[in-house]
Amino acid sequence: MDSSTAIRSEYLEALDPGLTGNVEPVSFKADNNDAQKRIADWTTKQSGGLLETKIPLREDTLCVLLSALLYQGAWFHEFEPTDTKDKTFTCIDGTEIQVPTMWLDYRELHYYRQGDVQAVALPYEDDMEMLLILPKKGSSPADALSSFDFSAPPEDGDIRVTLELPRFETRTPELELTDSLRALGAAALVNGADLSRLLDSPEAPMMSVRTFQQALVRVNEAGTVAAAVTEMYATPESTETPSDDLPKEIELHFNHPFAFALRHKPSRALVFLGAVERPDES
Amino acid sequence: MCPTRGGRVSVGCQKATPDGSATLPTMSRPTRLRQLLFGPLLLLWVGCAPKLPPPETSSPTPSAISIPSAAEVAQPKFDPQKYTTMNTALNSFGQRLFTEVAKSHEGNLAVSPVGPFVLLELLREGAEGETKTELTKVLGGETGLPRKRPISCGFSIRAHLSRWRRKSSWTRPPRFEVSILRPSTRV
Repeated sequence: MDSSTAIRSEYLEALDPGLTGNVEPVSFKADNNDAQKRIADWTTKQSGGLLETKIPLREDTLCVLLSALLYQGAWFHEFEPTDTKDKTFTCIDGTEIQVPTMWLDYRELHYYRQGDVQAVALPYEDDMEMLLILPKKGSSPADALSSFDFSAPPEDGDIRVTLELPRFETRTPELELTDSLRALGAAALVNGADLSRLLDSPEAPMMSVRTFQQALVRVNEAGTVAAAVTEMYATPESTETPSDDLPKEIELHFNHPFAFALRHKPSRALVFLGAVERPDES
Repeated sequence: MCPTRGGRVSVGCQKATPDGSATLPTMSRPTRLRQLLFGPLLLLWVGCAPKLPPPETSSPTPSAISIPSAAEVAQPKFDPQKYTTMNTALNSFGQRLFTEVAKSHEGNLAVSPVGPFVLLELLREGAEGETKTELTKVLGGETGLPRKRPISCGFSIRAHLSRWRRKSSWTRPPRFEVSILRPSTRV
C-alpha cells in the first residue's frame, strides 16, 4: 500500500529548510523490519541511550513522525551527597517507605504558594529550572500540578528554604497518548483524520494517528537527566476505537507524593511535567 | 540573583550519568548553523543518508567550545515577548495533556509536552477540514507560530532552550529533534 502513498511536495516545500533533511523515505511494507529498526536506532541515539522503543510497526503504516528531547543539567546549588540520608516518605495510601533524601538549605530560592500547594524552583546552572510542587499530605500530586498556575510570580521576600527532597526517577515507557489527545479534542485525528495536505494517499483518504511517548526524568544530588521520545503513526482509518503572611523560614519536606515541572526560565516554556508517587519506583 | 556557585561539579555528576551514554555528540552542518543564530540550532539527522559526516567527525562538540561567562553572553537576540503566545499555548496544552494522562495512570509519571505539541503542529499544517479545526483547538488556538515556518518556530523552543551558560562539562543544552519517515515510492 505504501507504494501509492507519498508526502506532498507542497508540504515539504512549506517545511523549514532545516527539516527537509530529516524527512526520510522508508518502505513500511517490504522492509518492515528495516523501518522498525530505524525508529529503534533513532530513539536510542537521540535519547542518549536512555530510552528504547518497542512499539510494533504496523505494515499498513503511511507515515511516522518522531521527536526527541534530551536535557542534562547540573544544579546551580548542588546537594551534598554526604547530606543525603534515608528518610520516611508517606505514599498516597499511607504506606511509609524509607528513601534516600537529599538536603539543601538556601536563601533566594523562588518559593510559591497557591492554596494548599507549595512549590520551590531549583535552578540549574543554565537557563532551566525545576519547579518542585508539594501538595498537602494525602493530596494527589497530579491534581496539584494540573491546577498549578505557572504564570504566577514567586512570593516576595527574603525567604530561607530548607529543602528535603528524595532522589527520584520517573520512567514512563510506551505511554500511549492517543486517548488523551482524543479527550483533549483531537477525535478526528484518531479516527478519520484528513491529512490530505500532508499525504497523497488515494487508497486511504482517511487516516488514524496513534501517539506514544516514553519519558525519563532522573533527579539526584548533581542534577537532572530528562529524555522524551514522541512517536506518531499514521495508518489508514481503522474501525476499532480505543478509548496570608509569609514566614521568613520555610521547611519543605518532600516526604509525600509531589509533582515537578522542568521549565525554561526566560520563556517559561514547560518542558517536562511529572508526578512522583514513590521515589523508590523503577 | 544567585550568588556565585562555589564548588565544581565533580563526584556527584558521575553518578548522574549512568554510563556516559547521556552525553551526546552533536551532529551539525556548519553552513546551516550560521543561518540559525536565532532560529533552531537544528541538529540534522539523516539516518542512512550518506551526505552528512558522522557525528564524531563533524563540527566541534559543545565541550570543545569555550563558554563565555554569564555576563558576557549576549542576551538581546532572544525576545521572550515574541514567543509569549507560543509558550502560553505550549504550557496550556502541556498542563491539559498531563491532566488527561494522569487520569488513567498510576504511579510515577513524566510527560514532555514539547514533542506532541510540535508534531501536532506539523500535522495541523498537513490537515484539512474537521481535522484541522480540531487540531487548532487542541493546540490552544492559533499557537503564534508563523504559518510559513512552523517547524522553525517549533524549534525556537529548542533554540532558546539552547542558550546556555554552563559552568560544568556535565550540563548539556536541551536537544530537540524531529524526524519524519515517509513512504518510499516505487521506482
